[in-house]
Amino acid sequence: MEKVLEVRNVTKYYGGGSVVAKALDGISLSVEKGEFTAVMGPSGSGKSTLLNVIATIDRVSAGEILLRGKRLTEMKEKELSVFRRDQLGFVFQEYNLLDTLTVGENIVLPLNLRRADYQESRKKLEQVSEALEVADQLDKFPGELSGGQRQRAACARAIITDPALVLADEPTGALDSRNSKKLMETFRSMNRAFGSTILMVTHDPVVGSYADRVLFLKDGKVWNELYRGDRSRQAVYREIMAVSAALGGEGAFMEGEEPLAAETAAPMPEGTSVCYGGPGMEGAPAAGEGRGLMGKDASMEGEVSKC
Amino acid sequence: MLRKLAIRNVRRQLGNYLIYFMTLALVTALLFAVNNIIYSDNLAVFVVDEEEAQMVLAMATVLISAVVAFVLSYAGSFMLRLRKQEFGMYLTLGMSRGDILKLFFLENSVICIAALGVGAAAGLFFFQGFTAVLMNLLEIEFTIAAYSPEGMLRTALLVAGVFFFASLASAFYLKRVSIYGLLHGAMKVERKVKHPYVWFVVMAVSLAMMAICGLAFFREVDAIMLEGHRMDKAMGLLLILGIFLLLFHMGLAKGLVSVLLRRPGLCSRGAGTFVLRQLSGTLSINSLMLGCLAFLLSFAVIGADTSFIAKTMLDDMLDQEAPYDILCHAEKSKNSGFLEEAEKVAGEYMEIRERLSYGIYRSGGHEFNEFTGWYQQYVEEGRGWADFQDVFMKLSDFNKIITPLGYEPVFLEGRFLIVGTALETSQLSWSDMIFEHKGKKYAFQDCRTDYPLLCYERFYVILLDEAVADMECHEEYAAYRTAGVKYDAAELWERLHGIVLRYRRDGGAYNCGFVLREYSKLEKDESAAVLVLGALFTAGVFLLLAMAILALKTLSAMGEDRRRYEILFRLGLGEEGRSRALFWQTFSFFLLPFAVPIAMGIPAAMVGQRIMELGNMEGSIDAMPVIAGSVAFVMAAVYLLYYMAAYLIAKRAVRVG
Ligand SMILES: Nc1ncnc2c1ncn2[C@@H]1O[C@H](COP(=O)(O)OP(=O)(O)OP(=O)(O)O)[C@@H](O)[C@H]1O
Ligand SMILES: [Mg+2]
Repeated sequence: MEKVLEVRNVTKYYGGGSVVAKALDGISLSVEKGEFTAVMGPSGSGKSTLLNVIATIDRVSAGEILLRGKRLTEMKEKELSVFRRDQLGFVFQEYNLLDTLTVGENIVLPLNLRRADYQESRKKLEQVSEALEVADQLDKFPGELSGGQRQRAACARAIITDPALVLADEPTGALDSRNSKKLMETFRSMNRAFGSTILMVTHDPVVGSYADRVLFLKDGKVWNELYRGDRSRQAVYREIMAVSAALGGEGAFMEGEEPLAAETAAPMPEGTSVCYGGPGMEGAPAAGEGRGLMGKDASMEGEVSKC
Repeated sequence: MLRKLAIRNVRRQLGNYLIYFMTLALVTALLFAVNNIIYSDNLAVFVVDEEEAQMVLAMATVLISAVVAFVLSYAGSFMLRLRKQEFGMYLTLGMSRGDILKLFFLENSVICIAALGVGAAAGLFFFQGFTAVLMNLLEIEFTIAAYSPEGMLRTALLVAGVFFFASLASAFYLKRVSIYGLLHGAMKVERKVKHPYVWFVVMAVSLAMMAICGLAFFREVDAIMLEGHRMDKAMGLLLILGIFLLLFHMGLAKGLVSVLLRRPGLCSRGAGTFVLRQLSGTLSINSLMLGCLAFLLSFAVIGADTSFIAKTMLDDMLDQEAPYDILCHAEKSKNSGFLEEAEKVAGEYMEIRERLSYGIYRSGGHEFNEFTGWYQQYVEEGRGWADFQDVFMKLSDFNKIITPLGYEPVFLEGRFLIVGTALETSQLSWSDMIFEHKGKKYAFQDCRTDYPLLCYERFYVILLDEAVADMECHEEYAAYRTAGVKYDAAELWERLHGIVLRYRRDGGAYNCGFVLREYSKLEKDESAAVLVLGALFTAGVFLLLAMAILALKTLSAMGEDRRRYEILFRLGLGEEGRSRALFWQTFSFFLLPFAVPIAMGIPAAMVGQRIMELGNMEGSIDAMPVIAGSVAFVMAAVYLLYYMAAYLIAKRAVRVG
């Protein structure tokens, strides 16, 4: 398989003088073509920083990043913007779409920035907006869309240029669980139908369970890695829960769980601490339970980290 | 605590506050200057006999102040909008509305007091320095020595009033708005312009109507100059032009961009769509404001042009009205002593180099006057022709007095020459006329209206000396050329005027008089100074306000724009591309209300040229484009500088570069 992305020994410091924060600590990883990778980890572990340096909107302090064999860390500002325009697609938690542009204009914007042919842009727009179910919304402004529709539109914009790599930082952060799942289905279908390589940061184990592979970060390093293989999503979800419990201990996913807590809310009888079964993810544990579970299992650290 | 917050906030939004502050200070300075001119003692001397003038000027300041007040309260609301979310946050954190109002007032007071101080200081400079430089450049003798307390007081009151007005509007808003409105005010849903094509048509029609009004105005200028039409029609045309100017800009703001947006194939490449969308939102919401700005700016441009054109005209008129240093005349039969006495008095003030004497003769007939038809009505009313006798001048006399002024001597071969002092003289078909005198016939040679004023008749006839010889000399004239020494023209004028009054009392009628060139010049200089200064200060205030509004409008949106430019950055639009997008976004906004007004200089210059052409001021025709060009250049330069400042602040605000 072709390696799309290679991160080698990347270190990133923030600040200067006496107050230096090490956001990334000699991290190395690689992503292959067509892979759907999720990055998880406790708050402050460097997930966003990692994504930002790959996205070239932030510079590394040491180490190098290669995309399709090209060394990003050596490029000049001007080349970098061309690189972003031509090779990358973005989906962020918010501020994704330009509020002054219509949804359609937002989606074709990357093509316009490339000065692509107008007719071809139209065709491409039709294609991706159909695939991401936003074809009816093209003439509306983002403010008139629901959060889920907005994120799907952002996805459409991210893949309209057929980028080498789609980067997403908590794309479901502002969505409820239903919409989160829908967006993840979208990611999956982008991944399958368009062959997009996706690198996604998330707090949410449910969201993470859609990926082919989950990277766990801690203190700016890859702490664990998890492959889906042929397993079901439930199995992956369970494993994510276990790893993250071991990784962060109690509260590791507190923030990420908020939407789940609010929406999934499948009422669970007192005492049923684990309830992984059931169709789909409807049986995911409510926030309180999850936390309780993690707290309990925090002692299993050594065991889990081996898997 | 409150004070700390206020100071921190001011510091954080320094760029915006700087523009707000500078606007306030500059407007204060300009108002200060205008008020000082109006209420200065020196001007009072000149204005005393025309109370109307002072009233007009006072009304002008009130008008300017009203515009200033409106605009500044608008600016104040920008400042408020800029900080809406911040205030909303304070409210959610439990600060009371009263606290926030106090905070807002505190900040605004600090700014206002500082602006008053700086403005007054700058006003001193403007007032003395700028006036001195300007008057020097224009070669006008006009100095205002003292500041007028009344002017200062008025300025302070005006600014305080404006401040109060602006704060009141903001306070009213803060009092009423909901927390949600404050917090989420920025997240409004973009609205599409309804019926952009209708606006497009409005724009096109307005443009056509502006052209038509302009042409009609040109024709009306001719009618005023040649046929003595009154000014009201021309003024009406200007008003209509102004209304269409407003409509044109509204149509442009609402229509053009939206129509372009509906043609995505045309200009969506690069960041085109983005820029258009950025513009379309601001333009359509602010279309009325932009139209008003265009109106004000046109007023500024045309006002400045007109004042300079009038200034040139006044200079030319001096040569027309007072070609000689002194020109005295007296009716021969009654008071020939006047000329000698006047000469003696004048001799005390200056060295007389040359005296040119000439006379005006009457034949006793009235053929020429009858030919004009001008007096028919009076004659029919029973006044008889005795009052409207034809007047003649000897050819030798005429040549004697025109050649020193640089005119070619005239040759007549048994013909007559009509010299008119009124333009309408040239409208008559004199060539039909044959003049018979003592058995000799004289045909028409020429009718001229371009000679200076050498005889106070509506027109006079030049004939060969021998034809005039036996006529009765009715009036005697004496034209003096003197050594160009400075003297107290006002005092001499008073003394000569005293003599005139004495003779008139004795003579019982209008039968003698004089023109003192130096004194006419003083009078004209003062008119010119008031005109030019008034127009320039008004233009300055309007220009400044327009720029301030545009800058504040642009910059107050930058908070939201920063996010948008951040997205563009992520999508891979390089620094250059973002700079370009920001440039087009801000520049188009700034240019929209300014382009047409600045172009107004062209028709203004053309009207000026036409007036000069018709008014026998050929020498000044070439000056018109220079004047209009200079005004346009200076205004554009000021505008551009201000724009550059706004652009650089905006660039920093959206973190481009
Ligand atoms: N601009 C910055 N300046 C200084 N320190 C920063 C900056 N951005 C991030 N950091 C620090 O770098 C570390 C990693 O931050 P990062 O945003 O990558 O965490 P994260 O894993 O995305 O966390 P979260 O899940 O909360 O989003 C943190 O300790 C953070 O305090
Ligand atoms: Mg993050």
